[in-house]
Amino acid sequence: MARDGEKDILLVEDNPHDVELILHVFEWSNMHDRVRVVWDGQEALDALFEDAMRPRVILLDLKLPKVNGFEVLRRIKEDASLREIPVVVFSSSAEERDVAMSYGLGVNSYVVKPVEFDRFAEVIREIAAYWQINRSPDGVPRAD
Amino acid sequence: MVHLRPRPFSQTLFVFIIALITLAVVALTVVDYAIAEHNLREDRRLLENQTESELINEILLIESGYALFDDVMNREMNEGLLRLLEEYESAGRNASAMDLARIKREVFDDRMDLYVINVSNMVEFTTYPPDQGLDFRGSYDIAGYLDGIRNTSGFYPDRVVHDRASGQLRKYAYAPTPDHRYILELGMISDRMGFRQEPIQFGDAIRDIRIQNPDVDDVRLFTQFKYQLGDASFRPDAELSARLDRVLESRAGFDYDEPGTDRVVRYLFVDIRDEAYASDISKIAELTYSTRRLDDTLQDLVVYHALAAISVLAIGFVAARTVAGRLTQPINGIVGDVDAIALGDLDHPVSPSSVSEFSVLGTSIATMVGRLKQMIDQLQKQEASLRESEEKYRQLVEDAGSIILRLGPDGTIWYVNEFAERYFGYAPGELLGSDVTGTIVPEVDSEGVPMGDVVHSLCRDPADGINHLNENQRKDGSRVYVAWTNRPVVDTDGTYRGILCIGNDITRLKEAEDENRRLYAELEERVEQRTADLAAANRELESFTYTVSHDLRSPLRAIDGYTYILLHEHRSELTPSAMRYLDQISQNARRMARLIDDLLNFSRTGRQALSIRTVDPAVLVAEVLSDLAGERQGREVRVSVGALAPCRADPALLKQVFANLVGNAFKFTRTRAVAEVTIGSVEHGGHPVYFVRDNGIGFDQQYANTLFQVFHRLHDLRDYEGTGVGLAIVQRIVERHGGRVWVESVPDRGTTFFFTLGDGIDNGEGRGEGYPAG
Repeated sequence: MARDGEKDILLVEDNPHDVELILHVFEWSNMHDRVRVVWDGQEALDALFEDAMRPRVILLDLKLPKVNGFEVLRRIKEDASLREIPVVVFSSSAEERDVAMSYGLGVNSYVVKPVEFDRFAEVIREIAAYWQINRSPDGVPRAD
Repeated sequence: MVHLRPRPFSQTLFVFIIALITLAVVALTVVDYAIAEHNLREDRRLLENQTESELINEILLIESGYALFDDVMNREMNEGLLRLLEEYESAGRNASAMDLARIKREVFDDRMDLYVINVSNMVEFTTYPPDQGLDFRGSYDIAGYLDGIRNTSGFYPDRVVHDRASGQLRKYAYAPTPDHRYILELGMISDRMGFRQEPIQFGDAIRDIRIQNPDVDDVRLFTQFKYQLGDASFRPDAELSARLDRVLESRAGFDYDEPGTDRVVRYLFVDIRDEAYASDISKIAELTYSTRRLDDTLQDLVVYHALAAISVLAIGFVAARTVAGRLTQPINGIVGDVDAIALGDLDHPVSPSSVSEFSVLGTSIATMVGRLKQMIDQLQKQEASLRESEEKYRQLVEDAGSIILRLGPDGTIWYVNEFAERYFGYAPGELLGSDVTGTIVPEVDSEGVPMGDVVHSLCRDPADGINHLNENQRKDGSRVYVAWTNRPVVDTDGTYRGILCIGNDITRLKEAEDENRRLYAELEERVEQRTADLAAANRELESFTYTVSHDLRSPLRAIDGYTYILLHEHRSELTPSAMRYLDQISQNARRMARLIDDLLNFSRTGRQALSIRTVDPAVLVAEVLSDLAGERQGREVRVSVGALAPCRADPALLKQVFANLVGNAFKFTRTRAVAEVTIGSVEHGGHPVYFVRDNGIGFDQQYANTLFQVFHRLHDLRDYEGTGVGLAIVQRIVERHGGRVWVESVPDRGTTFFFTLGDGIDNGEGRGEGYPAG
């Protein structure tokens, strides 16, 4: 298990099944140990603000207990040191207003969680590819 | 400015005529009088002249008589002088030695007086004592005469003269002595001359004169020695003497106006002087003219003229009056006629006049009166019709079941109809003259708004036809509501006279209205409440569906995910049937996800707002076909898109409709070798009817209705997938656009879906006539 300092993906998700499936997909790319999982909005904020975590990308679900996804997104984008971190909303909601709200808050990308797992996996891989967080062959994370 | 009272024309005319007459009369009278006077004076003068010349003639005549007598006497005296000369000679040319008395006695028989005049022209010796020492030097002419003859010889008789001393007549003769020392003179005494006729002669003359000329008061004749002829004893007084002297000296006459009397004394100098004779026997005639006669005549003349003038004036007065009256008669005639007309008798005729101007006037007046009568007639007719309409109006007002008021500009009630009186609870006439505020209009309405000013400003200056609603009050103070229509009442000349107010009781109406309003407000409140509730419910539903869909999807994802992992990563541990079951699980999970999506969609189409725009369906259909391109892969699908009439619709929803229908068409033609799908629209009853036709499997028409119900499917799910929500969604969308969707199908032949947006063509069964069957 890598140390927390090496975690460069923050996954904010409250559904354990979704977490398991996401991590399973990351496992296929050997990226699963670079993911820090937080289970609610408050934990996400704590990780970012208290622990000063600076991941390469944040995967953010919208429906979260305690502090919801929008609030987290807003806080991230308002903070000068966090603003630069790409945030990808990964939500089962395809609602227009959720999308609009997210982009309004400055989200970098909004991805709808498909139900079909094959597509689900594909989407995750695309995200990883898009935000260039592939692991290099020698195990050192490299951002291109 | 002084206002003169108008005077009758006849008076003016009369005055004018009288003035003229007076003027004329006066002028004439004066002139006439002047002429008469002049003539009188002329006559008098002529008479005077005549008198005077007559007198002179008489005197001359008499004198010539004397002259004749003279001649007779001359001889005698000649002889006498001769004798006297002889005596002188016999006395030895010594005059003093002559005894003249004796000579006178003896020679002359005492008939003559003797005189001896010396060289000094003085009577040295004489038998006539009064003349003794008489100095002729005092009388120049005699002296001159004597001087003239002294140195001659001859016999020189003189005229009969009046003796200077006695005034008696005497005749003298002279003879110078041969020695020229003396002139011997003889003087014959008149009473010896037999000359007694003398005064009578002159007297006669005088009498004649006096008879002839009545103006002659007196005539006196004087000798140059101022002896009056005919009156030997007369001696003039100083004044007379002076006057006579004047005449004698000037040898001319003059007039002497005796002061204080009406007499004028004219002195005439009758020059009878003969150079041949010593004596100047010229006479002075004194004529005393009296102007009394003239004056009397003149006075009479004046009186006569005055009287004449007065009588003429009197006549003139009357005449002028008459004439003036006559002349103004036509005027008065007209005046009288017009006056009569003015007093009201319009039919009074204007009498014709002989004067053309009045005639014209009369005609004009008649015309005017005629027109006036016409106008009156018209007015009367108008008045009658006015009265009639007024009566109708009054009746109307009285009978009307409305409140009718007439207010003056100050808000006073001028008229109120019976209905109003009863309505407001006042006795008949009680309201008249009162102010409308305080009686009908309350001072303050029930909301505390003061009404007085409003009402008064309305009364002063109302806008035309203003309607308003008023809270009014009855006599007992109870409040009522009246709907008023107010109209300003304006004169024919535009003066504002007041307002006519017509009102209808709307108390009940108002109450009902108030109730209504209250209820309405309540209702609105409720509706608002409900709407809010509904909105809330909707929101709740929205969030519910959202949450639900979200929450429902997650497990499905998990199911599918784990199943996938199992199928792909644990394949070696699975039996074929296990794999088949897992696969089923996965498929069902996906199906359920689709169901959820469809249901979500379905619910949303019912709730979301339509954004209606003019849409060209062809564009949407093209998009749909593009979206469904995948369905056509590996198949022969012929799609023909006909003319699609533009419409007003929500583009997104309309696209969904087409997507569903076209998708269905593609789906149910899968078994065909060549799938034929036609999309188009036809015109029917003013609206486009869109259709999607396929040559697919079709279905039994009797189940057409159920097709649109949620989850109802007519085909085996094993053959045709589908959630059964699609058509429900289509129907909902179409119905929300106010249209209708229906279907016609023949099993194994094909299906045609029709829909309209806007007005649908509904005959209950969803079957339109004349539509091409699928």
